[in-house]
Amino acid sequence: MVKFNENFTAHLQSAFLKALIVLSIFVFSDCKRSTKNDNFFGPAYRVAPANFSVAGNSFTPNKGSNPVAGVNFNTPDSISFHATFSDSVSWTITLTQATTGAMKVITGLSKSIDQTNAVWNCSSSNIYFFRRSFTTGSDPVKAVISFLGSDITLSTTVYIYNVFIYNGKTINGVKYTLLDDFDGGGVSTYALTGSVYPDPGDANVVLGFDSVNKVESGPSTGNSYRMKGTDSNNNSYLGGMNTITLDALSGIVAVTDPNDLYINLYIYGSGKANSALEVKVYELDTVRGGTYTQYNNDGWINDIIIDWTGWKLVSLKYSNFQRARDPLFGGAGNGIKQPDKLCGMAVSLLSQPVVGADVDLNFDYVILSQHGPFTPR
Amino acid sequence: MNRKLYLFILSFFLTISSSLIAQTQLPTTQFYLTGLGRTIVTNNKLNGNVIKNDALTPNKGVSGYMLFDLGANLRASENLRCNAILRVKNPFGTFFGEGVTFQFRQIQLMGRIAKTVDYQIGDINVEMTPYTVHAAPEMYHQYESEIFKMRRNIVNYENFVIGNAWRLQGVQGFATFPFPRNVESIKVHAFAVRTNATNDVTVPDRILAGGRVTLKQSNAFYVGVNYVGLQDIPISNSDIDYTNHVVTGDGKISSDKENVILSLSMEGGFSTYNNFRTSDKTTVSYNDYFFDIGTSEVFKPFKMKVFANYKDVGPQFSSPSAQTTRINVLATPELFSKFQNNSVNRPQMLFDRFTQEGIYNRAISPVLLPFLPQYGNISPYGAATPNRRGFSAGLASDTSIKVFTAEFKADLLTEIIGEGVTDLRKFTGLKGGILFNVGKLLNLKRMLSVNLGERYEKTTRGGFVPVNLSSTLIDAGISMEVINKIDLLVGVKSLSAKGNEYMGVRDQFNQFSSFTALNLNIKEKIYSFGARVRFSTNAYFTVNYNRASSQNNMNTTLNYNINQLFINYTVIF
Repeated sequence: MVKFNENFTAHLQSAFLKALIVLSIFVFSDCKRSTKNDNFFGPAYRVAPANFSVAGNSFTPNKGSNPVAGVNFNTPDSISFHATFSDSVSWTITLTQATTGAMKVITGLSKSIDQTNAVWNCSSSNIYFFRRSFTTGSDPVKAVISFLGSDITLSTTVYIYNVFIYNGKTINGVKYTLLDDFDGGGVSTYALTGSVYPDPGDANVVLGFDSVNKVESGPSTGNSYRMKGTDSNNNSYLGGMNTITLDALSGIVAVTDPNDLYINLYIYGSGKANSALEVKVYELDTVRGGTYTQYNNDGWINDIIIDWTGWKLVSLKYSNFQRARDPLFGGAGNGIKQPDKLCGMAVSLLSQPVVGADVDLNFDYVILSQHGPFTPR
Repeated sequence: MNRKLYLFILSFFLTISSSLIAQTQLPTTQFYLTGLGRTIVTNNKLNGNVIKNDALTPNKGVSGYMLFDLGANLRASENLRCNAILRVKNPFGTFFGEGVTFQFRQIQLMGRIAKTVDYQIGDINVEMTPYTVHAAPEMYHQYESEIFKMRRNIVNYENFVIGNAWRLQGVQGFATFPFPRNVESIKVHAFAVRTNATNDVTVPDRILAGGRVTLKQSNAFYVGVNYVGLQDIPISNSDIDYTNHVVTGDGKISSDKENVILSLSMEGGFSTYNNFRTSDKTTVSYNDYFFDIGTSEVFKPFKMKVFANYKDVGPQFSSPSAQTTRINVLATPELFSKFQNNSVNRPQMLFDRFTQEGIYNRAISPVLLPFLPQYGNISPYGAATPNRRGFSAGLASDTSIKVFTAEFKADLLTEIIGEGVTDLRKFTGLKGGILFNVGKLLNLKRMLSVNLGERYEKTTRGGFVPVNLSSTLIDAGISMEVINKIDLLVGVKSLSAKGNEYMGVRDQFNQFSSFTALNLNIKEKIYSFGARVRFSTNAYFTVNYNRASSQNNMNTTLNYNINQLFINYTVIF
């Protein structure tokens, strides 16, 4: 045990006590309360009184002041819900679409609802996208309004004539380019599945559309892409896909700063350990508009270990991609990240960090965004 | 390579190498084994309205497991000690050991550097003050029956519930610097742990780090300064960038007179919260503070302590390592996890809170977790529960009394600011109990004790959104050694709750996003009786029968009972 002489001890005690006083003053002088001037904390709410009622039991989706059956969200347009109550009350509108699992919750405190406080623009409160009700009578969105402290609920139905389409739009300064939603939408039809190749040395490899488990559905189909299998040959790689040619995406990215480009996709983790997805993008360094050749151009890689279960939106910043190590496969370009030279993309299923595993995942809605990550409305 | 084979080889080499070290190191080197073996068998039956006309819900079953924790301890010198606990667990019902799992339950390195600093690396237990790093009990159970304590001890062991410490992974050190005059010592405690691992894509590493410096003048006076911070190590794709800092000071001064010991204690400090969400470039920041001042008087002739304190904990005081709840109330119990045609997850009941191993939290949550107000509405997040102000007072028996232990405490608290409304909730709490050692009183050779405990809470709020919720928890039990080393154990727990509340739903930024109405009129009862054979202080066999009922007077279709025969054999060495 360390022991000190008495002079040193006296100095140390004195210094410590001074430091303690200073620290105490600092601690208590920095005590601030952010809610000091607020009347209450959190969103306001009020329960319905015992004699609460809704005028005419009317709860309708409107465009302006006129009730409508449905809406085209891509015109662009939105819809509002209208009703009048006997008292100012906390209300909740819950929109659900059974075929997609999408749900939107709108809440408020007021004596009526209209285009000022109950507007819906096709956005979702959970990870699933609403889909188009492509024929009348199918895929309706059910809207239910309920009131805090009351058993009264009213419901109505809304049809979506067209969903809000992100592809090609710039929202809050972020430009979106849909690469593939596996439903025929994107820069070209099924742009990412131009070439699909399983590892022949692995067992039970399945690479294909999955119409059951998806986050987004197109106008006529709803698919994600499922990749699964067993890495029998312990080489980590189980299969993959790429754009129809490795230069099929030339010219779609304008930004030059790799911090300004994001590759966004929804990934479903099955819970199987060591499932990993590799996203590889190609840059045509040699001749603009020419043909991509792997031995003298860049390839950039981002490996994602899927350590979650369920769907998750993943946004990969281009500046975080690593250079492909093999000079014959994208490791021999100029070595400079130049997003405006992006020309193709590949996605592969890996068994990582442990090889030889039984792996399984889905992914959906692969979308590029320039000047920021993909932020669903 | 087959995983079991891999683990076997690893364990084999670990054991052999440890043995070799034990034989070849300096004479101080020691190697020894510790362990715990436990077998549990339960026979369970579910009945009641929840499975009426229900052919799909499994309503009976036998389950259990056998486990063996083998601790290999190496003491190479004063500077280095290490231990690893290898767990072998075999759930009943698996085919010829197919379900056997091997895992390391604990790995620790520890020792002393320069004869001054004690360090621990690996799985560590971290605790500081009630407002910095502190895991509060899941609810008031101080005076519950021995038959329930045995069940709770199993859950606590499985979840590393050791006092008020959090079991975390990282490093910590303790040092004491003694002084020859005026000041007895300065103690330093520092730690750093990782509470969340990065996935290198969107989730950053999250580090909890802190420390405490205490100046102890004597047993009559000390002051301390504490810091704890929880923050992300940003990666460029992070979904969020989170930091939270808590700084507090605490102290205690005592005066020991002839018949009375008078003490004054306090802790006060502040928190700063900052959270940046990448997706919409939103930053939420807030600060808040708290103070807690208390006094206690020990009256020596009466062997009794009287205490009182006043506290003010701000509505946005954020201290995740002191506010994370022991139980995740959203977790589904493993026992009869579904009912109503096997379609609805069974919500937790009182019985689950001390018998279900899987519903306990092991992680520090930056967001205040949901809680069930019937089990505790006044301080659901422990002493550091935010938005509370008011007095507490009580009395307790001195620990020198052997015949009984008793305490009583009253809480009179209010909110500091209304939640969603301007009106404030008022909280009234009474709790206490007694453990009466009848055997000692009557000078019996055998153990005979009676326990009784009660906790009453009432929450009210006026105005447009009134609240009126009351709940009562009663514990009673008897432990009687009927034959040498054979105990008869009886226990009863009863909880009733009636009224309404509004539960806040918190968002990613720990802010209220909405409130949901909750109406309760429930009664829960647990009757247990059984026997325990004590082979030694570290080995016992117990068999008991439990009947747990959940009665919902607002919706009787949710009423049900669980009947359970529980057999347990535990050996610790």
